[in-house]
Amino acid sequence: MTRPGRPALLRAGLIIVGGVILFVVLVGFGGAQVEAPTVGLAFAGTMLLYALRRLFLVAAALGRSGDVTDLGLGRVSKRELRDEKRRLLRAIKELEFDYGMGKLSKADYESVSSAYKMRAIEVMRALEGNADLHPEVAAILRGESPGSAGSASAEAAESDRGAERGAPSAGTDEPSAASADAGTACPSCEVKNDDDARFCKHCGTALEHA
Amino acid sequence: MTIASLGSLTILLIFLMSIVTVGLSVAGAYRRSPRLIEGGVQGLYATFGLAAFASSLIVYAFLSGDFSIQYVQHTSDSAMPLFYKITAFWGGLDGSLLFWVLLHTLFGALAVRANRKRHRELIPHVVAVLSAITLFFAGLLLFLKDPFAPYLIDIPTTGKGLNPLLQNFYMIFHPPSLYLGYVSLAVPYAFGMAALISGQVDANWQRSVRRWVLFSWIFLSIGLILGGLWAYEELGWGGYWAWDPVENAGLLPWFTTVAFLHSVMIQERRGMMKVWNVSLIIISFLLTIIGTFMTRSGVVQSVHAFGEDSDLAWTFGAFMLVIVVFSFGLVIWRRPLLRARGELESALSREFAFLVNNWLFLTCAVFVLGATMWPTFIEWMQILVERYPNALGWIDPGERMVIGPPFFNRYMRPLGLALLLLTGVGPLLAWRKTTGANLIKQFTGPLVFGVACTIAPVFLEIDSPWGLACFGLCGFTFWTIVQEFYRGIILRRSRRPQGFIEAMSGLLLKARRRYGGYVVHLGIVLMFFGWAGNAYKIERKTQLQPGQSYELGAYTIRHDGLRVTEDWQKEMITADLAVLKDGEVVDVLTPARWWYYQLPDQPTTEVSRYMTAGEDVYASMQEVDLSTGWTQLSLFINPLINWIWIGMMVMLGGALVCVGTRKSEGDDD
Repeated sequence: MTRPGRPALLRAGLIIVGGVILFVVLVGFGGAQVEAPTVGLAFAGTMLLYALRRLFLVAAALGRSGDVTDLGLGRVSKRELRDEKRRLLRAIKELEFDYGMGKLSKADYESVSSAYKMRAIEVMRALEGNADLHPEVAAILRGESPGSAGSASAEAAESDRGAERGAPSAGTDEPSAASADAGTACPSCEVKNDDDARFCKHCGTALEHA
Repeated sequence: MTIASLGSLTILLIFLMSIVTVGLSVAGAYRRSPRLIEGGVQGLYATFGLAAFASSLIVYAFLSGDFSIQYVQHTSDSAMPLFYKITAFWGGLDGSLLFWVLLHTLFGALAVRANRKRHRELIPHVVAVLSAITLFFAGLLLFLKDPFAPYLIDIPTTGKGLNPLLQNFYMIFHPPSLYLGYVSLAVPYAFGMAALISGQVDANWQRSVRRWVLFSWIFLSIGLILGGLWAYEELGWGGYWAWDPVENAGLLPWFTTVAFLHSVMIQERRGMMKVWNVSLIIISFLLTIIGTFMTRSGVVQSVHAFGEDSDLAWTFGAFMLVIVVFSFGLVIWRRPLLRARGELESALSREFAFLVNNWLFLTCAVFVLGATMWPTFIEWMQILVERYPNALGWIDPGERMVIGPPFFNRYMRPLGLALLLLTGVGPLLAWRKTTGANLIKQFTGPLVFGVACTIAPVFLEIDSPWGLACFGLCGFTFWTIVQEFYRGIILRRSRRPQGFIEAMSGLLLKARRRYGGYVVHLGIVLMFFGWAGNAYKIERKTQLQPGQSYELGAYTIRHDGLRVTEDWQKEMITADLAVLKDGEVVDVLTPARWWYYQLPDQPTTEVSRYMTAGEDVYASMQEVDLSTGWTQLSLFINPLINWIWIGMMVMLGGALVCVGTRKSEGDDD
């Protein structure tokens, strides 16, 4: 999977700059006769290459073995994350309020709120500085979210189990790294947290102190 | 393989790729499969790549003069300057549809790329909606209007050339700018639909589309004003806006996007008007399609519609119906999620001012749309009555009539002034409720200045009630903006001692959205100030021979002779008109008629004007008799007209300040 970002832009920029330099060299030193249609044709050729590359990427995306859950948030600033967290929590609260008032059907409430909650957890985790999510946590979160009764969430859980199989290596080393520190283990994901932590830093479960 | 067949093949690929992308995204969203979703996203990029390839092919065909392609032959010739050869790409109907697809896929790709991490839940739905729209336009290109359609026999060797009226500086940027505005509105629409489908209808999706809408709005504004400048400089009837259906088509989404940009603030602040905001986005998008329909299908008669085509009309009609049913169906389905959280607490609140603003803008849009389409409705009724005399014989649709500028002006003038009043009143009101003491404190200054501005022009012998009302409201609104800035600056300086300029730029940069908005309002005030000049414009038609003079207001126009010149493209007759004020020559105007060799029966009118801050002296030549020297001239004095263009600049500057808002700054308004 390609992750469009600065390297891709940089590459595109380099290709353009290279093309321009080649053009200048050809015209200036090689004495080539370059006319507008030639430039147009060269441009069309470039566009053709781009289109073909993208078509190839469609096939590549489809041909990947297994589903890899991409829960990373990419390059998003801390400030933006905090902002989004606040917004998400508000949205969840409003949704609960609406549900309590009987404005929403149960299925609607569950499917929408579970999506929000997943996102909120991701954002909070990204704020903590962990880029990728422990696959087990993802599975548990989705599987045990309030939406597990609804059909949509069941389906989500199913696809997540697929995801789990697909990416076992993504996060296996993470908990072991965390377990090096002393602290309270989270009952649901077994990640070690600071002694004074009230909630798990990975999954948000409330921690019980002995 | 010829360019023509390669191009047609590419369009077929765009069509197929759109189907694939829609399929992948819908399946991916339904099964929550990242693999399929990723495939869909890449498919969207691929569609853009293909569209870019097809477009560069047609540009290549123009550059190399491949007249075996009908479209190239119709809109260009080998003698045209290079620049016009490239812009001829969107000079005709077929090419402009391809240009549409190109921009649409480009914006789609950019929007998805920018938001795929931030709004992961929405992305597959966004991709599906965007690709479905691409599918429609690609279908049009494929089945109805193939820009690559070749001549099968009798391949011509020369082109017909682009209409000389379109070979004008403003015309190069006017259509693409309107297009940018039109097409980019599909992105907010797709996000709105995605929010509805996924049920995540909080203010989040709007934050990501607010800037897109602002972007569309900026380009619509630029497009409209360039169209106005083009009409003013090229058509030679002394005005800039004639309520032509095609101009109106650009104005309609402009109204609704302004309404959205205001009402979205209420949703962010108070959680109200969710259905309304989604509906505004849907309506704006629908209006862009209606606008395309009006300009492209030729059902509405206009200066620059592209000729009649009933197949295209029916296709567009069906597409619009699908959009309406789909979008509003989703709104109805998701209505439980879209309930309002707050309530209006007082009529003296900013929410209420925004609400009235929205009603007025929507009224404007509905009125303009209705009046533009009315003659066409009458015509359709006539056709229906003729076809089914038994069932519909009792209806008398009447004659197809022409609804002209006076009709529009009569109703739009009060609406416009009401909006100007709101522009002034709105910012003075507080959220939720404004108290009496507050009211007095806020309104005294603006009211006094407004009244002064109403009375002052009377001493300059201006007695048109509309003009006076407009001046007064401009003064009122102007003062509110000044007051807001002044109070903001005082506040900043009281917190930390700093210079005046520093405090002001601090205001603009720290609360961009609010103060950027005020700058936009200032631009609007200046534009209204310019429009007010219409109330006392002078318009004369006269015949002059060389040596004769004509009194025009405070000026004297003296005919100094005629010149006949020619270049490789055209023959030109130019009149030299000296403009005298108080007996001194201040400028020489050179209105002209140009006969292009390509289109000798369609001479163009070249306007000449003497510009000052206060007024334009504007001359255009209608008829000329070279043997006797009789020259028929249209002479105008357009007071304050240049303030419209200045206001436009200010408005765009303000809009750019707003666009610069960082995402996290949304709450500073």
